[in-house]
Amino acid sequence: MKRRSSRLWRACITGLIGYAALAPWGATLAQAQTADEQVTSVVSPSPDPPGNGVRGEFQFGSYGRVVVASDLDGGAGKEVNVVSFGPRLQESPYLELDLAYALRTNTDAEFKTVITAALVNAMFHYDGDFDGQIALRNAFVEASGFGVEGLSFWAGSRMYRGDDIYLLNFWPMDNLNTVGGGTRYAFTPDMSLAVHFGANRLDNRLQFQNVAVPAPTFGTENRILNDRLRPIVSARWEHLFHELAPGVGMKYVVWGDFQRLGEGVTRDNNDVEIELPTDTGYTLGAQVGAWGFTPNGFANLFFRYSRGLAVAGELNIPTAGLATDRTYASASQVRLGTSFNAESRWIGVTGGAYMQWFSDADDVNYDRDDYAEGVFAVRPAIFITDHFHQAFEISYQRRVPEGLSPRTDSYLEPAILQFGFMPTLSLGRGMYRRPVLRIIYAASLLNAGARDLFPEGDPRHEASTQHFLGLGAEWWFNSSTYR
Amino acid sequence: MRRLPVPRISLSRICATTFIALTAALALSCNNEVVRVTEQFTPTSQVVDWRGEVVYQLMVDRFANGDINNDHGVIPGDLGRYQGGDWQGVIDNVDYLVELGVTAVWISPVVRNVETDAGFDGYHGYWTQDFTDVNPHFGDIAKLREMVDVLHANNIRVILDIVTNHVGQVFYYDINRNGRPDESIGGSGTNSPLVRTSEYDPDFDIRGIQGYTSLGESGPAPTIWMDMPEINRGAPEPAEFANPEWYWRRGRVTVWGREADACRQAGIDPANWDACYNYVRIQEVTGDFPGGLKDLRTDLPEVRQALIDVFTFWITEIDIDGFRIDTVKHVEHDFWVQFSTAIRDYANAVGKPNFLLFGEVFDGADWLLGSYTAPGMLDSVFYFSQKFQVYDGVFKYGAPTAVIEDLWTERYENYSSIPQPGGVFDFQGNPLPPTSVLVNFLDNHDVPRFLFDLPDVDRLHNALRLLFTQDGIPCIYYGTEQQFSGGNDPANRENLWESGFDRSNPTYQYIRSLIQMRRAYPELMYGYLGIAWSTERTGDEEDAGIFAFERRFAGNRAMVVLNVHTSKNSVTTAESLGAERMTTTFAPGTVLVDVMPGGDGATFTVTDEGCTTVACEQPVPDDYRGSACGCLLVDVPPNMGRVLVERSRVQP
Repeated sequence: MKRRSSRLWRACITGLIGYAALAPWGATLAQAQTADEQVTSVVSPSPDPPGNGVRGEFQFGSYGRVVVASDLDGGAGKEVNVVSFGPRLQESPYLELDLAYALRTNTDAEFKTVITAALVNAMFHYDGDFDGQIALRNAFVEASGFGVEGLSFWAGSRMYRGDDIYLLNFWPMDNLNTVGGGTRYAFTPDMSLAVHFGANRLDNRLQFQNVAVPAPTFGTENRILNDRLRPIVSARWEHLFHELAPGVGMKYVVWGDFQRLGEGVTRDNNDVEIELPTDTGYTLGAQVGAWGFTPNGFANLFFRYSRGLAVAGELNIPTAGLATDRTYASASQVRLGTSFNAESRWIGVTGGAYMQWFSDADDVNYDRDDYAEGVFAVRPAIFITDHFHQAFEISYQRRVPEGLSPRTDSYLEPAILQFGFMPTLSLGRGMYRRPVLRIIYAASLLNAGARDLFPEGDPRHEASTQHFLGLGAEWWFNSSTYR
Repeated sequence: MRRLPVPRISLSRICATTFIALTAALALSCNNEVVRVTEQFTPTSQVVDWRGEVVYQLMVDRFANGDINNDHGVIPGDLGRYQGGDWQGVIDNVDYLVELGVTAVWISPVVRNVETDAGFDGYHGYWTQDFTDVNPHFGDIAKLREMVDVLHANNIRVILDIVTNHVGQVFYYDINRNGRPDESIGGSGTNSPLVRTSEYDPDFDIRGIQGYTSLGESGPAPTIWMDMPEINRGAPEPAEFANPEWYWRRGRVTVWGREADACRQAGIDPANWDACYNYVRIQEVTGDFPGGLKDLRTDLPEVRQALIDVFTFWITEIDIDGFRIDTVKHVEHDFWVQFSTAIRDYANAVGKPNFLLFGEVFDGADWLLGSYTAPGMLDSVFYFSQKFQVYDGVFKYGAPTAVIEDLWTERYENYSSIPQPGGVFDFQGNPLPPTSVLVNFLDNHDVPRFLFDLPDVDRLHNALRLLFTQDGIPCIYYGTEQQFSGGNDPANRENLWESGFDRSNPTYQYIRSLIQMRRAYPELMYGYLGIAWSTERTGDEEDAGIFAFERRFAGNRAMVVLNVHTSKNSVTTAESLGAERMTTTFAPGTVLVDVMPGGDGATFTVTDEGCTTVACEQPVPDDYRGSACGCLLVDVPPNMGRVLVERSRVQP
């Protein structure tokens, strides 16, 4: 134990001085698990099962965060990031409500219904607008236990994703938001294959558009001009290795997905009809992880290669950086990422980093839309008592574009160095114990390139140091997003 | 379950390895290639002699669409709106220009414009909003530099179109002081004392636009800057141009086509032509260009310096080789002395000698065109009087070729024969006067195309024969090579890509061959021009339609003979009317071969019959004006021309 603690000390010091990717892995086993494993605690066994030996179990969960902050200059604290997925110290409020109900027969067949509603822009007490936006994230049923050990099916709307980088608030390899269904088969308890098929039709004229045409009597009626359903398929192979050392395990994951948009036609704001060609995209990914090196310790390394539509993501249709034939198939993205956590009784450190190289589909030189970027964030904490700990955070992010700034016509690489200080009241010791109440102070040092991203007169353009002093809370329990 | 061995890797080693890897990856991503485009200015082209260049007028929005991602607001087919052409399109199609044989492109303005006004877009570039920022419809600064680099690498010079007279529709006159721009104020009938007036573009008032309501005048109307960022319609940049005092604020020019009425309205007797003309010129110089284009007070020293600063900026920003200056006659003459001198001084200082300054004086009055070539002013102007009188009048509408001789003779009265200090020079470094470097053209973006009202390709080709054999700098409007035939703006601004960049088009091939001929015989580029024949006759007479001239350079000579008659062969004599045959400086016995592309290769022998000759020491000096050395009878088919050179000089 002592040897492990001194090693951990050296690792933490190395990370604080430069930036380092430690490599244990752990707590965030998310959607790859079956619905069965997500029911880790029964809040209240339902006293009213439907009968015929069917038992019901209800579970309520939530993930959420609320923060109010000042920029120490009379304004509100602002998020400043120059990369696609920057540190989340200054993130805005968000809420997910998870409702799950599992029905289990006396033959152990189980149907679990999971519903997750997400809300943004819902802080009526902050902005005075009684008009928060709500979206249904999960609304699916997962079924298992039909006599084939390890086989499960699901259908519905689902946040279908793997492991995240918590400090950067994103899922670097596999993260599909889909309506569809899938199946998973566990060849052994540690080896499984999951495939899924989904589709979307975004509320965007490039996927779906009605136009008004004369009605047979008076007025107009709607005609579907454009209807491009986007099928998405994925496959995930996962293999776990337990007890390589006492409490230590490893895994690897291989991921692939493919999506396609068929041809169509759209009419723009000037009533110009534009032919839309067939377009495709795919992702190949791999992950290696380990856990158990320390209490709650984990580490992951991610690799993701995407082409075409998969670069933009399934919830986007690219409208910039197109090839001259209006396709996006030649866009590419390579991403490397890491996440880690390590803890002892008194100290914890969690962190994450990624680098990615992006090139859009247009074949032009000096294209500022093409870039390489990277970020690392490390958050060490001292667990002063069981419920109070002092956390710090240091992060550095940088983007290296392929073109010139449109504002200054010069070459700039936006970068931000950020320091955070967070006294935290927590449910218990641990970097991922929630709920927490905390004060957040962050100082962001913006270079000229970062300030150039904002127009003149904007406070983020005018000052190279942006402050964020906030008070907030974050929680999760029985959440489909975090455990 | 088989246990895998625990990896013997220390956490500290993992930390260090990852740190080094991430740092190295980030460092390798530093973009040296992009940084290169911001390196300090190093000229990549030098012009040897502008008379040897062939200019191609290229409207960027209409040439080629190389990047659909800047097609903001494009409405395909609506020629009054953006069509999508950009600098990437020029890069992608530079081979088209190289094969055609042009050696310089005059590109439409690159600066950021007011996006749109009254249903039309600023695709042409003449509605400046920001003098030092690029128009994102065409690309960014890196793309513009890349285009210039690519053109220079293909031996093509770049001439930038600039506007000094005005900016876009960036403010309105709050005549009724209600704080908003009104399309129409005033009365609605014929009995009201107020007429309909637009606060965007009110009629000229020499006092400056006055405020008024039905109760009477209220003093100068406030100048209110527009604030419509969605269409980039706002105070101009750089910030010093956002000073209302920098504008005349007298409203739009109203005299054109109604000079007498305008003078009368101004209290000037139209019979007093000098006074009336002065008033007309005051309007032209200080009035807003129609369409609400606000006129700059180019008489103010600070305005002049600001214009010098913003345009010298572009010389080193993108390494251009010359300026084509818009609306020259709408700016006072003494501005051009100061501006041209400053531009030349700067260009020479930064390693861009032979920087061409030529301008658009959109007027048929030859003396007015020439006035802007006075000492200290422009190197050259567009030869508008020639366009109207010769290319339209003679080649299209059959006016006698004597018009050409008269006009060319007047050139030496109306245009300066004194080279501009620090101005353009020839390949031997000798300064060139404006009379030698006028820019010749058939049509452009402001007039109907040559083929519009008379779609006769034979006449077009014949006009091109003159264009490429006369002295000066030839300039072709894009699309001519594809036989475009649009009428007035915007119909004459067709999308070139709709032609498929057809290199087999007969006119593309013919221009190409004419350029090759011009380059093969240097006298056609650099030579002294001596008129050998012109005529008043346009009917059945033997010489009707004939125009001939010699080009002489460094002992080499070419005789150019054109027949503008559309239906008969003509010859270089009017003996039946008692005139002598055409004379030449070639000696009797010289055999001349026709090398005109598309010609029959006929030969003609110089004699001493049919005209009065003297014995000449051969070769005669380039500027020989003595007696005839020989007589030459040449017949030319209708709508054709010949270029005659000595047999020994004929190139395969």
